[in-house]
Amino acid sequence: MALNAEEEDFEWEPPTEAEMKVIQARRERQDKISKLMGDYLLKGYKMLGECCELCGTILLQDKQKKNYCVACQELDSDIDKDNPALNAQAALSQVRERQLAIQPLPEANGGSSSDGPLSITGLPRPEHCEGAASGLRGPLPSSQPTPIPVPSGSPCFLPPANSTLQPAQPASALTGSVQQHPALTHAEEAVLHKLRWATQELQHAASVEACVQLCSLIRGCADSLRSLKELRLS
Amino acid sequence: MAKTCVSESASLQASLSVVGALECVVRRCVGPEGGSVLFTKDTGETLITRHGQRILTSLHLDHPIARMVLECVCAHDRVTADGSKSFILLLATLLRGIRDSVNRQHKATWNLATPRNLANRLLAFCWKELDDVIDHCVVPYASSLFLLNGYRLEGRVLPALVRGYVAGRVGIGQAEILTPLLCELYNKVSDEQDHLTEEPIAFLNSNFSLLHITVSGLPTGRSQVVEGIVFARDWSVWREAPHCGPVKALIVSQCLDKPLAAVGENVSICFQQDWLLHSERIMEARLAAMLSLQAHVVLSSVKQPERMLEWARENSLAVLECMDSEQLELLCQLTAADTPPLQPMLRVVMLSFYRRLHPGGGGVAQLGIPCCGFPHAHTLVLCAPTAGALEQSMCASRGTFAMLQHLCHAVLRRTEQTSETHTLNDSCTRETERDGVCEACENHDHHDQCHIPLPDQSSSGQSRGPASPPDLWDVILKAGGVLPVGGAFEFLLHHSLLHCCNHGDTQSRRLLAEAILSMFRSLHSHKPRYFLQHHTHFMSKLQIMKLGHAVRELGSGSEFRLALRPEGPASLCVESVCSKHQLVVSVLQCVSRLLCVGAILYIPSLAQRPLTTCSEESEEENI
Repeated sequence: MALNAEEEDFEWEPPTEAEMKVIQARRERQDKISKLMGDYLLKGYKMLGECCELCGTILLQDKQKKNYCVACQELDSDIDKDNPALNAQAALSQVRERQLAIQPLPEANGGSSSDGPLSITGLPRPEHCEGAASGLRGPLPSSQPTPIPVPSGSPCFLPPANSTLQPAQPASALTGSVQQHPALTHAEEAVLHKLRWATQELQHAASVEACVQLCSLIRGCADSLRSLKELRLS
Repeated sequence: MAKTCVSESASLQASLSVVGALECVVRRCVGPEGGSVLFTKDTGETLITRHGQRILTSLHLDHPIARMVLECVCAHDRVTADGSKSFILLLATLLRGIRDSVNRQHKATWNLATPRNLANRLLAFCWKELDDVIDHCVVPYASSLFLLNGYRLEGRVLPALVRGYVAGRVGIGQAEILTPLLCELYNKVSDEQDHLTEEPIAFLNSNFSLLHITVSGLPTGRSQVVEGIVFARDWSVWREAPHCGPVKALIVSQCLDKPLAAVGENVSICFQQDWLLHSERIMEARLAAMLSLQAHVVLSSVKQPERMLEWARENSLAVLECMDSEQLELLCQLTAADTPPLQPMLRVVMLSFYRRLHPGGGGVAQLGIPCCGFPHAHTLVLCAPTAGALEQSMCASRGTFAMLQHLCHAVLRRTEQTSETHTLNDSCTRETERDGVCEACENHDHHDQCHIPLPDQSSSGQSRGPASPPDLWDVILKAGGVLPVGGAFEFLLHHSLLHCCNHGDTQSRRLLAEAILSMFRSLHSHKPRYFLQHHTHFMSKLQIMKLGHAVRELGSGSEFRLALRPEGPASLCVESVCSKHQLVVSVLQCVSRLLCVGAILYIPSLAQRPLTTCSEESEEENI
């Protein structure tokens, strides 16, 4: 037992940035849920002793004896794959985008675009990040010490071909069970493209006005993505 | 069928959800700048309140964890009449701290029982070490803080205490009017004698419901303290008092026309008319006997027959009927009522006066009680324009006396224990006493941190001013029973937990310290800059106090303001240390109760089960 504990000691690492993002986003979601619940309690809703079957939030009951789950019906986060609170892979992709934006342009590697899932970033993914693991399961290159093999002349996070975007999409794309309308796919790609561009611009923006406009653009892109997802799922 | 909700640390998650929701409810009402909540019933009644316990009990909470939390809040409120909202806020912050601590823990050592172990350790810390920390690291600074700021609170401790309590519970205008009234009531009831016991405040607290009346529809400024006991009923028969001075009053507790038969006595009646004549005769006899006692007032706890009221009018007596029996009992107790011989139904009391008051539209009866020292009965007449404001004032007043009694009790008991320790260790010097008392401080370096030069008796005597008798509240101030409002306790406790005494359960100390400070910080999240300034100021003053600098070296006119709102010394508010101490203890107990829950079982009630008998009957009918 003691030996095992020592081995685990060596293996234990502080939570990665992706995990921290997940934790942080979960807490914010929980805070929002609490605030909504508090508002409803003051409106006269009753706090029941049951939990929602979908998300585990405590149910409220209004005066007409109808049960109400604030998370499912207002926050709508449990089907939103882009929410890092619930999808570790989304958190991972967010982290990677930010890291790519921060890091300097790497040396070019023309053959990297065929590497598939790791063309975005060559950073090793955490082993315990299951969402990421399922999303990025594919042919792994044997050596991963060199960072970011991407073509030169373009911002590092822009994949040259549309096909490389596909595996990096949320896991629903990989399951193949959901049919995607090509127009929706193109729309999503375009919006993601603009989102990434706006993120990069935001890193370098110097004036407040520009920052505000870029933030509103990012918000608009996120809203569009959400609507596209709903369209796809409906 | 029962459905279980067991997942990892289910109790922690459920508690966090529930307490988070409750926190969002009460947060908006905290502090003098907080708002109120408006509740409306289906019947149209409205209730506007900012009283934490009232708000929480008005919510519909079916979740078992919510009900447990509510029970703890109510129990705490019964003891201190204070801090219901702070309870929820501190509870939420502490649970989040436990969650973060659990998340940070090494995965190998984490198991399902980790939150529960943490809660048990916190509870153990509460029982074993918290008292020491507060007694030795918080209380000694309390009285010095006032001297440090140049505030001489002697003689004004009670108004500061009352103002500190009332300001957060009623509007500013009401607070300005209510504070001097409550102090006046206390001073008059205690007869302004030098009572160094908690008798006056205990009397006021236990009898407050009998020593106040409420009048709706008048401006708050019409509230006053009147002598004697006021009954919220008008005289049935009113006669002006024939002379000034004490009057005799008769107290009747039964209807006079009901003939009483003693056990064993035989009453023979042939006809109803005979019975009526019999009872009339008995009543006349009783009335004649009452007249012979030469009383001017008849006080009855029941409704008397019309014949009796006529008799009273004929004989120039004043009659008050349907009186509250508890108030009557208090009256008898205070005036030492006695029963005249041969008339067991009556009791005779001496009143100093009797009057008819007219607050608002109706009339009420005021009876004066001869003054023979404590307790000198006075009644608080509370006026407010609306019923809601009236109820707020009444709750605040009642809570004030409960809080004051709790404070007196705790400080006087602690003073007794300390004086017993002093008498036991007579031979020891003062330093060794200090060393012995602070057993937790093993490191001698910590002695300087934990102890400040206690104010000598001589210097305190000089600072008091000439020839002022010792006041109970000044004793409490000197004993470190009160602190300025606005975070002094939170900062002191946070600092003491982190820096005073390094042995013991450090994780629990750190958890509690962080929870206390972050709760206070979140209260002022809308003005973080003030919070930081305040904290920095306070810590610098604390360092000065620890180095034992004399008060005069700081210079006069110190700019340091202890409250976050700039207030002058005239409106300084203080709060009781023992209430805050009790709050921390109650929250720790509640946390351990919550986290010891293993699983939450949901059992649907009978009404929700589908009825199967109807279908069987219909089948039979078809057949």
